[in-house]
Amino acid sequence: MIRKTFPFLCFFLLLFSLVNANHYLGFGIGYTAKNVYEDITGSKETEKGIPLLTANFGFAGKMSIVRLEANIETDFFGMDLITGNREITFFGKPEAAFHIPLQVDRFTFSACLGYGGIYRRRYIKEGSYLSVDKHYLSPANFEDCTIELLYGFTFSFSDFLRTSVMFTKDTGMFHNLKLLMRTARSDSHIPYISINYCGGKDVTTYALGLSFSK
Amino acid sequence: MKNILLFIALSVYISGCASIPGKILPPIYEERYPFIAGIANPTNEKDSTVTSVLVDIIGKSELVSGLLNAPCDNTQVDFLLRVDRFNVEIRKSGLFSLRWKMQGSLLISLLDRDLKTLESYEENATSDEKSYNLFSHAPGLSLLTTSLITRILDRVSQDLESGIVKSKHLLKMEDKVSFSSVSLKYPDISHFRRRNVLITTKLMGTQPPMNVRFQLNRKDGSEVFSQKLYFEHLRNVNREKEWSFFNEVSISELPFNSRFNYRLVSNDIECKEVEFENGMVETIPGELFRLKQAEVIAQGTIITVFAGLFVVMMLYSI
Repeated sequence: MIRKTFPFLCFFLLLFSLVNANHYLGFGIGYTAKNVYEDITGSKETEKGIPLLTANFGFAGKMSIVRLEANIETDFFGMDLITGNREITFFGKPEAAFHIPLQVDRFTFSACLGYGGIYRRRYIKEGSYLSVDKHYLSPANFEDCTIELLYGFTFSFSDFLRTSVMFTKDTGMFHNLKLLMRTARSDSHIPYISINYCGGKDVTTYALGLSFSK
Repeated sequence: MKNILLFIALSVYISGCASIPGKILPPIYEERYPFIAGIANPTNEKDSTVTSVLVDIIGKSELVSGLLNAPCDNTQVDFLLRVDRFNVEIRKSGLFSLRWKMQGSLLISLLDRDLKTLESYEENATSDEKSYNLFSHAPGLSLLTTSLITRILDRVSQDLESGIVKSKHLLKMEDKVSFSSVSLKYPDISHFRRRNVLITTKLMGTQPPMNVRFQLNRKDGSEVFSQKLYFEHLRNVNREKEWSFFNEVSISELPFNSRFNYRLVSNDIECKEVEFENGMVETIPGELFRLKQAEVIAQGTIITVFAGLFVVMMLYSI
């Protein structure tokens, strides 16, 4: 009984706190500068120049001095969506972090500790790349996941500039840099323009988008 | 099936367009002159029916702000109305005729509080009604009476506007509680050149506010512009009422990077100007305005490219 109720209760509390927290969502366009994957033959291939559609969704809630932020960003491009290839390139970047903010006048600086990373997937249906007219699709299915402890800091100035940098213990493995900005003296519903750089050992993406916050 | 879907889409589109809320102007009674009228007893006792119709019509009209029925304290009213004569002549062609011909005349006097006649109003009207009900008696009589009264009241209201009567009753002054916000609005994705000032205000009290205005002044006190606020809605809050007003005014002629004082004013029950809120607004520098326009272009570009890329992805799939 307890084994079923307790997780359910936890889940309910989490959902409740998320619904009551400030949420934000965004969308944009991106570009893959580097994506290393393993071929069907086992050799390493580097892919670049794939356009991306990005969407992100997140929550931010404050509990006493600690701020909890959770968001997921997905980058996606599927060239053969309808006839079978569900996705060709998919990056999911989940992230959850505790922030401890320090505010001085209009500057806010916070150090953060979190958990997250990047999940990469490349999928092509076998029938597709064997057919003649789909020869441009390189024959490889690939799945990779780098999710571990994240360190980082954020910096914001007034309400028109927000920066966040997150990286793993080994900085070269995965790092994510996000910059949100808008002009001064804007209404609260005006979206931020977001610039996003995500780098790592096997992947580099750039994205430009809009982020709407409550 | 396709036609049905098209029809549904069209209906939704049309009904959506029809229900776009417009700006609602304040009700006319907000503009009325603050008179309190009294209704005196009629000269002939048989005219009491007309008097009660008169009371009913004045009470529903926007002629006065208050109405007292006879017998009333004359110090509380600004003027009195009295029915002096009411005659109706009803003619019927035959016993089973369908036509009712009526001719009526009504004389109403406008008296001051000392019962001195200021003006007399006389109206005549005829009515020619057909009734298929054999048992009805004078079917158009109430209509005739009403039209006589409303015609006289139209003339009374014209005379009141011309100042034949001065408001003399005891006034209950009140300071209304107000909640206002004045904010400057700059370009966003739906309006590229927007430079507006948005004013919303809520006034709480028992007497309706008259002529709520927004005034923008320079630092030396000279007025830049004065704009009337639109009435938006009325709400009951405990025993008081809450009137909300708003307006969005284009300020494109205002210089950048300067400060202005604003005042929100209305007229009280004596038509004197009362300031209920003041403050300061500061326009942004011109460069920031251009930057905001650039930001709007950037937002539009991102949205367009996102949509374009999405369409391209879909086209690749097919």
